[in-house]
Amino acid sequence: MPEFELSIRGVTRRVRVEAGEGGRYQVTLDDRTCEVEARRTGMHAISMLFDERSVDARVARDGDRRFVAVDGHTCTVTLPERSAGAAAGGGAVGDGRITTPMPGKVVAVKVAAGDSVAEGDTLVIVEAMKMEHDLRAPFDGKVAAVHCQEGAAVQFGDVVAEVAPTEG
Amino acid sequence: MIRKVLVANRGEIAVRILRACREMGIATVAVYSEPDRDSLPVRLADEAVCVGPAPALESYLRIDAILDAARSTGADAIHPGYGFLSENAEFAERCAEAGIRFVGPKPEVMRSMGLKVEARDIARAAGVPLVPGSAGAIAEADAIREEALRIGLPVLIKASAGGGGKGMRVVREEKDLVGAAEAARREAQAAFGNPAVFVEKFVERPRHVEIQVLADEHGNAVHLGERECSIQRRHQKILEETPSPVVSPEMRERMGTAALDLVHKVGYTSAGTVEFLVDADGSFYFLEMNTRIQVEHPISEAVTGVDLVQWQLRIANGEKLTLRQEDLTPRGHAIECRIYAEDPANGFLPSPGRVVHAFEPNGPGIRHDSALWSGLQVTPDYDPILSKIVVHAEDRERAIAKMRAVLAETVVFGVETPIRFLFDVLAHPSFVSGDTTTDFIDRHMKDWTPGGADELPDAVWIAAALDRVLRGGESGSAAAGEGASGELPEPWETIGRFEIGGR
Repeated sequence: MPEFELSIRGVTRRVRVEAGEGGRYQVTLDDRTCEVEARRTGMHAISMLFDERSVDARVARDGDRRFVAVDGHTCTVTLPERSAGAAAGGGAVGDGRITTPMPGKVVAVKVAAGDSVAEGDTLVIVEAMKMEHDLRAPFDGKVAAVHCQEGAAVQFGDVVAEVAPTEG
Repeated sequence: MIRKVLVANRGEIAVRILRACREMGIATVAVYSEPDRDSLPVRLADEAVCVGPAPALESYLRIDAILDAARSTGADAIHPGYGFLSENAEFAERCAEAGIRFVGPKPEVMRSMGLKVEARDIARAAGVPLVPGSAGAIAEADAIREEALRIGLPVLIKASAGGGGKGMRVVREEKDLVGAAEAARREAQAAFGNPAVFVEKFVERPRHVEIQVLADEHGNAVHLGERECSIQRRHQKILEETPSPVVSPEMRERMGTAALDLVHKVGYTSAGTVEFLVDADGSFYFLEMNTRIQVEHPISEAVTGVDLVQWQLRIANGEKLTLRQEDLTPRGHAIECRIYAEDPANGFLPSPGRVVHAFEPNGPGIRHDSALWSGLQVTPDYDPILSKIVVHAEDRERAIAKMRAVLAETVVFGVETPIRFLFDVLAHPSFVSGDTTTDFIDRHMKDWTPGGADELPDAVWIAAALDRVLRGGESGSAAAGEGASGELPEPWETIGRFEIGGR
């Protein structure tokens, strides 16, 4: 069951999402749980019905940054676990998207789409300023996609591979 | 007849002009700098010519390159927009020499109005009220005192050589006059080597009110009422409205007449704006004339129904004004909010970056003059204006409510904007009551912040979490069966990283 630590304007909160039937989700925000009927209504829009309210949320992402706007409140959302991972040179992200922590060159691709991987397995090695960084699997799962080739130049925040968690 | 117009500008005003041309059946040429290759004006124009790299001095301000672009594309007119070369008399002259019509007033008129002292002299000769002040520089303390009492306190004593606030003093009481005069003289001497000072009326908590004019080449001119532009940050306007909360129909007529007196005196043609300071008792004083289309022109268009940019082009074409002054009574109320890429919580510093996503709501009485698109790279090279939201409603109260509703729906992701700040300005009791003076932001909004995360609705957090679930396939079978839209990858996800022009 996905659980996220989200930081907005310096405050971090834990949000747990449990999928139910028909687009319904049990969302637990700190110690409060509500049922939300939610659907994506466009690339940048999520319509939510909960607490007898209809909320039209706008969402977007750009590399490591995610954005949410609700009722005129526009926020940048960061993910503490992810920044911790990036700081450790891992570049692994909580949702299985493997991003590069720095611009550089891909020196090795260790996996192919469909491969099973265990948490911590090296997926891609990126070199910059003569230092190699291993980009590792954030959790057990399958490689959903590989978006780079050996020798390719990469920029900060590029998604080089995606890992899908093993279904529990 | 003008057949093809080159727009020597960028961003929202270029879009505005290109659309006006398109509506009039005039072919268009955009010029652009290298990083603006993907911008809306380039895409909207019939032809586009690169005039240089990012720095404005090497692109949008390069007269030769722009004239070359006009020649090579066969443009017979150039619209300069605002900023850049719009008030550059030399550029207007060079256009004339090249046989290309400059959409604006005559170069000599631009030159006169561009020089502050000359503009004031012309205004005085036209009988336009000026801030009362000494006719020339005064060096004697006694004479300063005499002059100040003649003008009436409070007065501003300032160095005749100078600038930057040095040697400048506000005097409110007679007993402080001599001391202040001595101090101002000493400071002026120390800073500029010249002790002479000017004395002028100090306008306390003024309003900035300007009159829009239109004049043709046949001696006809009309004014389109006023715009109240007092809400400013860093001496730049950020929110404008019309009518002004303090301008009565009678005062509008007096200000309009004064503006038209100046227009006739200098032989002004095209669209222009006469700026006034308005003090608490409703006296108004000439500040300067802007010889171009203004950023905030749409609010005048909203309440008068006149298309100012089209009229600029028609006047450049030699057409006669068909507008009659008696038909130009403002109808309803209009407000403009400028959306800049800047951070209102951090001194309004520019916030360059990539606009990840933008949404501009529509509806009755809503207009966006915008160059925004999802993917726009805001570079630090230019004024960071992204768009202008203009609303028009039956009265001021309804216009404020409409603007707040529009701002609440407007979304710009990726760069900071003053959207929330403007939303709060519009709710401030002093704004609502019409107490809008040029110090409004310093007085009421100085320590503004967007508010802490604890004030955010829970829906923000829930949406942030659901965004990840609905996108990522982490939600299990329920989301997977929930329609294809949830699975759509974003173009940005599949395209990989790219930058427009780099950083």
